[in-house]
Formats: sequence, structure tokens, C-alpha cells
Amino acid sequence: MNEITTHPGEQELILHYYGEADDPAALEEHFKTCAACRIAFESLQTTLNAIEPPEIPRRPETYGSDVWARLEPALLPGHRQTIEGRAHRFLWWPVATPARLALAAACLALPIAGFIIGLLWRTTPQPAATHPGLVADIVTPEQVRERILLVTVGDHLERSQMALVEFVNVEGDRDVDISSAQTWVEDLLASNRLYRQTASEEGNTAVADLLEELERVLVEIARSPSTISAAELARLHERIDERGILFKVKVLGNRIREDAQRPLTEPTS
Amino acid sequence: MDGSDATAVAQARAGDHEAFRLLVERHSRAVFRLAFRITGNEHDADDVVQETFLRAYRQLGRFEDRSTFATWLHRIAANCATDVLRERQRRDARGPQRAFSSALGRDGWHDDTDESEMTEFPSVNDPGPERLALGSEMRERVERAMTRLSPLERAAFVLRHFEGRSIAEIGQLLGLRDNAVKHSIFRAVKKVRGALEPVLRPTR
Repeated sequence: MNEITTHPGEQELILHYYGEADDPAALEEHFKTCAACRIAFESLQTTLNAIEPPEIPRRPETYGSDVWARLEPALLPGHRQTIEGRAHRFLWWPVATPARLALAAACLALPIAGFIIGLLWRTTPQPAATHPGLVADIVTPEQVRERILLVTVGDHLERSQMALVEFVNVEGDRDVDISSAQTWVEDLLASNRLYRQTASEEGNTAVADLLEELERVLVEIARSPSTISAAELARLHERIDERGILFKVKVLGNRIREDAQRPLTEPTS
Repeated sequence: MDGSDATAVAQARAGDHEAFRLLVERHSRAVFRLAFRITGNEHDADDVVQETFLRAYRQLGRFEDRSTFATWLHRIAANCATDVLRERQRRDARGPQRAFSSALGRDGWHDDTDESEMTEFPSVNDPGPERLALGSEMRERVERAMTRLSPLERAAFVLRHFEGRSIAEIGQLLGLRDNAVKHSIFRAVKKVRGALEPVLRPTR
């Protein structure tokens, strides 16, 4: 134990509280003769002792198996499924038939239509509400436009997530044809640019930043040759992985979809 | 197959899905706990668990036996969880100026209460039923204070304060040097103290 010649600062007291001080015995000895330091430490103790850990939400006994059940489809080679259950119904990668492509085109057209409606709504003057208590009295055109934007961006992120999940699950020992993925990616790119610009204009930097990051990944896939080597494919997968883009798209997409389902406003009585 | 992680990892690397299933089932709860501690949000924590195992599976070839599988896995989880915090912070930084923005800002830790609007709290020395309310008010204050921490400050603080992990362990989990961990904890404690001390100060 060394004798303390100067009063310990707040940082040393914090380390002492957590049992990480270099010389705890010297500090304790110092507290015996220095009331100011002892009081400072007791005050810190009182505050930190009052911070209790939030209760950990209970998970069922089957939690591990549940996690595995959601995870397994994404790990099985040749099993083109995503972690998200809802993606199961949209397994387009292995067989991009004309019917599936037509369905995909229709799905793509919907959010774009919503987006255009949103833009029109922004510029079209709305008649004054005349029936008290009706939705028109309590939901503004601005709110409706924002909601349409939420829904369309949420859809876009979900489709992007599915496309990326499928892409990272593509495997091949030699040359791999990624042309059908590129067709999808180019469609996603077009809408991505629109949504990014709108989010940016709206001042929504979180969405704009994510869409910008997503765009870089999509551009990289779109600009690759239509047939690439297994090594090039692995490098693309690695870059997607390192950026954590799939995870970010998933987290923000989930939130947006949840928010888009909430009522616009409480009805008036 | 014996029960050790090392054996299961070796088998999973060789393409044995059952071995990876064993690892998932064995470690899911601990990863959830860590993820919840860092994110403070149940749904985010579930997402982090899923993403952690997905990343672990893809990076299994990079796992080196210098650390245990659990440490390596927790490191991935801590990274995923701080990614979630960063994303949340970027979103919250915009403020509630627009409906589109504010609709994205609701979650368990979102802070839309101005400090000046907070109610006066009874001192810990006050007798009577007001004391009963203090616990929950304290928790709310802690939650609000936590939203003001940077992702690394928050992660370092909860790992030290709630999980009782050593500074060296936290450094390993977050990929930081010991000094960086210490400074993150110092800043976090300072901010949390600033939010709590008015409540805890005895009345004169």
C-alpha cells in the first residue's frame, strides 16, 4: 500500500467503487483522515447504488430452440429462405419465372404509385373539413402524406432486405450468374434514389443515411458483371456483411412498419 | 459429440448443422441478456440475438481459439447491439420536428421530456408514500439519463454496472483499449450522476 499524497479525483473514486482502483487499501486509508474525500466517495456510492438494473424480460424455456428455428432456414445451403418468416412466401431467386417477375413488377409499382400520390398530396390544396368528428377534421393532409411515405419506405426496405438476404445466400463453386439479381437490384435502385431524396428533403437523416448506404451496396451489385467468379461473389458477400447493411435495413424497416400501423390520431369524442 | 463449445465449434466448422444448433441453444439466453442490457429494448434484443448467430455462423472460419466461443459470440452481440444504439441515436438526433420523423422515434428508451418539465422528486429522507413512488421515478430518470449516453458510453456503463464485467473484459467485448473503456465509464457515470443527484440530495 502506498500513501496517497494528493486527493483522489472523481475518476479514481469511480474506479474504486467498481473495485478497479490501483491501490484500494491506500484509498481506504486516505478516507480515514480526509473527510472531504470520504464524503465525496459516499455520495458517489449513494448515487451508483441507487441505479438498479432493469429487469431482464423473461424468455421461454424453448428460447434457444425458437432462435434456431428462425435461424436454420438462412443457414441451410440451397435452402432459399430468410430469417424473417414473411419472406418465405417470396422465394424468387432460384426460379425467376415470368409470372413471378410480373408479380414483382406489380409490387414495385405499388409503392412508387404511393410515393407519387404522396407528392401530389403535398401540392394539392385540401378542402376545409365540414363534418366535425370525422377523420378529415383530425387528420391533416400532411399526416397522410407522411404516413404514405412511411408505408412506402417500409415496403421498400422489406423488399431490399429480402433481395439482399437472397443475394448473400447465393452460392457457387465456379462462375455464378447474378443477372436476375441485378434486374431486381436495378429496380430497387430507382425507387431507393427517390426515397432517399425525399427523406433527405424531409430532414430525416437516419432514413436518408441508411438509404444512401443501401444504394452503395445496390450499385455495387448492379455494376458487377452478370457472371462472376465464386471468389468475387464471396468478396461481395463479405462487403455486405462488414457494413452490417442487412441488419440496419431490418431494424429500421421493422420500426417503420410498426410505426406505419399505428393510428394517425386518436378519434375525437 | 461431447458437450464442450470447442468440440461443437469444430464440428460446426466442418458443416455440422446440429453442432451449430447446440451452440445456438446453449448461448441464446446469455446473448439475449447481454443484448437487452445494452439496447434496453426487448424487441431490439431479440433482433440482436438473431443477427449475432447469423454473423457468427458466417464468420465461424475466422474464430480463433485465443478466446472462448462465448467471449467471441458476446463480442459480436455487443457490436450488433451498439449498431442498434447508433441507429437509434441518429434517428433521435433529428428531434420531433416532423410527423415522419417523430413516428420513428417511439421506443422504450426514447426521451421526449425536457429536463425542466420533470417533476420535483421527494428526497430519499422523506417519509410517507412519496418514497414508494421514488423507485419507479428513479428508474425513469435513469432511463432518460441513459438515452443521453453515446452508444459506447452506454455499452461500457451497463456492462460494468449491471453486468459486473471487468474493464478488461469490456475492452475485449467492445474492441476498445482499457483506457477508452475507463473514459467511457467516467463520462457515463458523470452524466447519470448529473441526472440523479438532484433527486438523491437530502432536503435541508
